[in-house]
Amino acid sequence: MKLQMKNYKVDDVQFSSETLYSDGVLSLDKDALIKEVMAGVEGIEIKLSIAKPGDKTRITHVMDSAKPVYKLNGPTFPGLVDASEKVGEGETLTLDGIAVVQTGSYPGVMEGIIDMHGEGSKYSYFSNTVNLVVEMNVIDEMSSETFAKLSKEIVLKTAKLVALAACDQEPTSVQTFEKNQNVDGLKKVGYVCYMESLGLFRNVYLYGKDTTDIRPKVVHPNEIIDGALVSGNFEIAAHKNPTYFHQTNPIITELCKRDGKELSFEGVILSTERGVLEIKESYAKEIALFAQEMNLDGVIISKEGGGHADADLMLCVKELQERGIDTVITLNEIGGPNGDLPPIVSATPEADAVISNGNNDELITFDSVETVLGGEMINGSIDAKTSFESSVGLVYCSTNQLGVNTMAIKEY
Amino acid sequence: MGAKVKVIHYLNQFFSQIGGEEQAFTKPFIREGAIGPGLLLGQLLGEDYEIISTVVCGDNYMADNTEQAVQEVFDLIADLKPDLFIAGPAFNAGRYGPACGVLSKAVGEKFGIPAVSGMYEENPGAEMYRKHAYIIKTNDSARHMRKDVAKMANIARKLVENIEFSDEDMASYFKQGYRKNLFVEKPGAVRAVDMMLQKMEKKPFVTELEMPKFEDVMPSDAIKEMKNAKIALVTEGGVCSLGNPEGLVASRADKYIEFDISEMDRLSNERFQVNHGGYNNTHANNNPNLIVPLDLMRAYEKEGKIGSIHGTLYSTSGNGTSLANSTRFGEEIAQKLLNDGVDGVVLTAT
Amino acid sequence: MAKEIDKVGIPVSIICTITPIAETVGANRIVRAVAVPYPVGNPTVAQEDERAIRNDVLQKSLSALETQITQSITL
Repeated sequence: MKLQMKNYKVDDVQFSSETLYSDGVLSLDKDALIKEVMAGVEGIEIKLSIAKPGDKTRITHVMDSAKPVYKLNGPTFPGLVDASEKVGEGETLTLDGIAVVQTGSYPGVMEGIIDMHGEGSKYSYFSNTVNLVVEMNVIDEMSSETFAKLSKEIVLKTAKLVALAACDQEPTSVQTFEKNQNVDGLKKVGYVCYMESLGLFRNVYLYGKDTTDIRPKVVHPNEIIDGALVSGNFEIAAHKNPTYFHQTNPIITELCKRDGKELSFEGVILSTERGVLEIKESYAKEIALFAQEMNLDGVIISKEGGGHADADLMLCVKELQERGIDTVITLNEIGGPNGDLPPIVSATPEADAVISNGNNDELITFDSVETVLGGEMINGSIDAKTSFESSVGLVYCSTNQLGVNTMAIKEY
Repeated sequence: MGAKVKVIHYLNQFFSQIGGEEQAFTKPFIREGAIGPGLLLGQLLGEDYEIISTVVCGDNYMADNTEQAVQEVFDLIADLKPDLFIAGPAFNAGRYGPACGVLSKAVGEKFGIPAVSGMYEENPGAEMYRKHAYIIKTNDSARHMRKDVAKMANIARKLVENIEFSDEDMASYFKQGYRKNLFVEKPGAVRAVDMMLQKMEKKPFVTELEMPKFEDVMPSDAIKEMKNAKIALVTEGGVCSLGNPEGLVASRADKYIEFDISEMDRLSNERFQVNHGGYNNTHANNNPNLIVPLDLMRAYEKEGKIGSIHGTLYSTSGNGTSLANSTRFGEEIAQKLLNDGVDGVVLTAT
Repeated sequence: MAKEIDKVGIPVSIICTITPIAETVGANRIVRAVAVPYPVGNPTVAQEDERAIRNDVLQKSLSALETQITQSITL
């Protein structure tokens, strides 16, 4: 499978009378865009705004973020926007440096913020992207299932339509994703991607289908990079893996980069984190059996969420290590404000190679801002314009467990 | 400048030169000035510091009567108003180490002063007390005492004078277990692939998190007569009143709620709901008894299987709750249950 | 929270699904729950079956309280 990602660098975004991309500047016809995104969508209104790095702006109630992308010879976000057909081959165009950030309010949707300036801006990946903020406002009563479905439609359609602006232009660069066949003597590495798929508002979609009941399966990394995996997780801000990071999964991109040079990247095993222990145990075994069949020497494992998800990680490590396969896991910590409490809730001695993406509970002081997008109150109790103290975990994707950020931990 | 920094030094029977094993049962006493290794310590601390007194105690006495011995040491030094406490170094001495550790912790906390000790890595006192005092890594015997005491003096001085520790300083004592966020050059994903390669190629690597050892608590005694027992119900499943007027947040809970269930036969979904971000709340909202089985427990109470159900239900939301909070909630609830004569607890977690 | 209650001498049965977590954090009397969203029950099966399941989980947790132990048990 050969995928060519055509990257278009975006340095600035502005609203204008027409939608076009030229010389790194993306102009958007706001009204036309809203009209097209919301065609056929009832019960919700949206507002579009632009938030740039350095703006004294805070975005609250963040639900999902997506990278503008348009597949040239196939479906964009298969199963959700376009038809559900296999992706991962051919040409796809994508805009770099810009994110579509979706905000919304609904019981069960949890708080998450992005600061575009000040102390808080050190902690989110999206403090460094130009964000097209889609603020959703529910105007008619609707079920949570409908809200989840429409939310997905809105953010993904926006991401597709925005990318379309660059359609006939020359890309800034082209990246090819293709398995290197010249891998003699190189160690075989696989990637296990655990997803938090527990039902409403904590879901991940694979080709548009909710993955709550799927068994572990092997997929081609190109499929994930090409939009097959979408986030429906509106949970804890620092714990969820947004659509943007499925599209740009940093573990996959790093393994692809080194494929054929330092290692042979053999594939991805997707699994969900189930709520029943026996199923967790059986999935861990299945994953290990796949890994054995693939003759893997090493496996990197990531998770989504905390608490019970730690158990999945540890069970999987044990099964793999018992079969002589080396493991590295990546996670974040909940060690209390002083970082002196147990950082995780499940442990196994075989997990001797761990990457830590930071402690969620560490306290930071957020600066005051001039503009708030999303909602005026944080967690229903803090005035979003003010300066306040809260934990790193409040920041959207601050300690993201796919290893997107350069945060680490030092022990004293 | 002004007055010198007042230091109290602690030694066991051997290093204080009062004797060997036969003196190990000596009760705590105090001598003016420095003794034995204290002379070296005083010299290395410098002229702005003075070891005003040395406290001595036999290792066996301290081990067998720890609480009492610690109090006796408090009584000996309280009026001296020390600025700094230094114990040992204990090297690899198995009773001396914990003695230095427990005193460093107790004196440091009681008097609010820096407390420094020194031990060899295999000394049990190091693992037991590294989180509660600054325990410098020493050799396993007094062979290189000068170097070891110099490291202790260095850390002690920097603590008193509020000087930031260098990387070398940090490496000189046993980690206290505080983990702080910082930004590094490479993102986590790149570090993960680096580590994968190092591990597969059997090259040395340093894990960013060592698997924690959790504190084990001795199990409480079993209930002898369940039919006379008062059982309390506690939950971290996020049970709250309908509409959540208590404001129980679905994640990182900062409180627990007390409900009077003494007149209830079950948890009604007209009176209760749940708010817990870690699971799908639908079934629980429909029937909160799936989370807190009050209905079944009442049936057992009527049948005489259990004596009675405690009139208060304690509820919090365990999703992402920091261990600090859940420990604090647990301690408070534990005290209340103790005061109310509860014999056992059924705790539901989700 | 279970540990703090155990510390003052009151035995605690913790009903939970992800028992490795309870085991890791050092809880002593651990009883396996049905599933994360419904630890004491199973609304997806017939009522009589559910009653049996609920009784089973709760009896186990009371049994655990009556069992003298020196180290952690999982029922």
